[in-house]
Amino acid sequence: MIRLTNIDKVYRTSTIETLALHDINMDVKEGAFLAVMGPSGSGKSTLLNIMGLLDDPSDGDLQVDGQSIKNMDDKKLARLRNRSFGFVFQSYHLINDLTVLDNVELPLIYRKISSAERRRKALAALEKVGLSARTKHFPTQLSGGQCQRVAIARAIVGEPDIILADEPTGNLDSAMSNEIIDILINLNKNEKTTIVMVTHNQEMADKTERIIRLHDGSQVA
Amino acid sequence: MLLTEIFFSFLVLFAVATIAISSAIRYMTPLGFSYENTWILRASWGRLLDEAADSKVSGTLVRLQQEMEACNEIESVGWATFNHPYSTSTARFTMDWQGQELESDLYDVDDNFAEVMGIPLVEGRWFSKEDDASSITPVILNGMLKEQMFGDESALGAVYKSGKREYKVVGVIDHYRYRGEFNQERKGFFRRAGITDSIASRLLDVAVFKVRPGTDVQFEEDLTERLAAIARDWNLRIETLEDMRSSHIKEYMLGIGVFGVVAGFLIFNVALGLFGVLWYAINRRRREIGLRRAVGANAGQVSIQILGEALVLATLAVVAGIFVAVQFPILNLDSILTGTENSVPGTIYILGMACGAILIYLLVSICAFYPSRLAAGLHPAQALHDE
Repeated sequence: MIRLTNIDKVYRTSTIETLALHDINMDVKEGAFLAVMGPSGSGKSTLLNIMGLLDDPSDGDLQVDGQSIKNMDDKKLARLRNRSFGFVFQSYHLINDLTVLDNVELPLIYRKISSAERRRKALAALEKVGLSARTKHFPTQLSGGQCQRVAIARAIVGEPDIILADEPTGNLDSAMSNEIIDILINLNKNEKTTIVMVTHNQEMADKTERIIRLHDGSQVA
Repeated sequence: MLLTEIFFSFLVLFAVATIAISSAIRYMTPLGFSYENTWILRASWGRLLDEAADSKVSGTLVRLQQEMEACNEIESVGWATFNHPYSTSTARFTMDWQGQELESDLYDVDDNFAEVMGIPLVEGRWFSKEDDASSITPVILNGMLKEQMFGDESALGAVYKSGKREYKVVGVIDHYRYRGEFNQERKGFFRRAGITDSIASRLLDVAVFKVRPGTDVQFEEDLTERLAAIARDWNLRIETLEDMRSSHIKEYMLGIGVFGVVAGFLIFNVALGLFGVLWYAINRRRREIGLRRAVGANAGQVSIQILGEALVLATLAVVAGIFVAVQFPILNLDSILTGTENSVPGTIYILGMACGAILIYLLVSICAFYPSRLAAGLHPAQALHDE
């Protein structure tokens, strides 16, 4: 599904060159649930961004469904992000001016589907995360756990093949963290959605199938 | 704040466009006379104390005319009064017409005036000696006055009374915009007068004369000297209509230019404000833009969104502006824009609004273009990481 071959990522400024990832080789198979762990600054989020086509590797090759992304233009990359990936971020990244329902519809706006269909799919996604009663609320009226559930609904509304979650429980207490991880496990088990999750939390990581460990930008396990 | 600035900018652009369009249309409308190779002599002779002095003035005017006609350089000479071509003076005449007051311009001129000024008649004839025998004052109407008084019927031969005098229409002309290219046509009529007429001799103090092509400034000096020898105590001044026309156009364009500079300064400020606000909005919304990119928006879609939001803002301001702008034709507020009432047809207002709206959209698009490209160029990973 996703294959990373000899991936390097270097951040350059006029004076400093920082190696964020070095020689990463990894396969993410369909239906897998992976956790990426490592200390702060080890390159976890950078790896997730590269997997999700939000950032370009400095070297190496990334393939999604057997297609190399090397020669893809901005439109193709955007379409691939829209169709294949769903993102869940630590700080939710909800748009405060939009209602819960409008936030969830957001990925579908960039597809050619009717507004009625968008609404139907968004309501179904909110149903899955148990928030169908909060459709007219704004993000500022919700708790942290509810916000993250909205973010998960937004990630799954387009029925993507892969969900990339960057510390989805990082801002939540343990009860809410368990709620979120249960939703992700259900998606993986019932919907066969592939999930890659960056986490600092060993307890959460233990609930996944496989743990990848990074240290100073290199894969150590 | 920005909405208010765009709103006022629209009104300014609407005013500039309306004035510019109506000025251009007026400029292209026929003047009704010819200014080429036409000069004027303005004569002033002080106060008239008695009939003897009046008779002396008439005599001097006749001799001035004879002197001018004797010059090889001069083809024809006519007389008018203070509201001569390219003058800013106005003589108004109010008559009782079918129970209502009808106001129009009045031009006292002599028999040669039309020939000198090249005024074409559309009906009837100009004044001539044959009018000497009649006790009724002959008049020639312009198209607007004829339309108002007689509609589609012929005006020729019509006699009407105003005050104690009777008037007979002997001719109709189309246009006579004596105040110049940028002034609107007004209802008006010519009334026959002569320099030997004791009353008229006090009115006809401006000679208009056609000179042969190529006549130069040296002749102007010679002629002034020759005429000054006849009218020793008089103040005589010769000018060419081409110079007067040029001054008229320069003055008008200067006014438009000053207004344009003020309008331009306002628009420039709005452009700067708009650019700054959009720039700020994009910096404030970096995470949202990053998110949109993450969920599938390509660079073009982000760019279109920013541009679209700016255009929605512009539309709100333009709609409010149009609401104010339509009050001008509805309440007949032409004088605020042009200094004259009933001077701008409704279609020009519509054109002015359309031009104002198009210019606002253009301005907003230009100002939003760079910030929208900036937003489109944001790297999603970096934008999402910004706090």
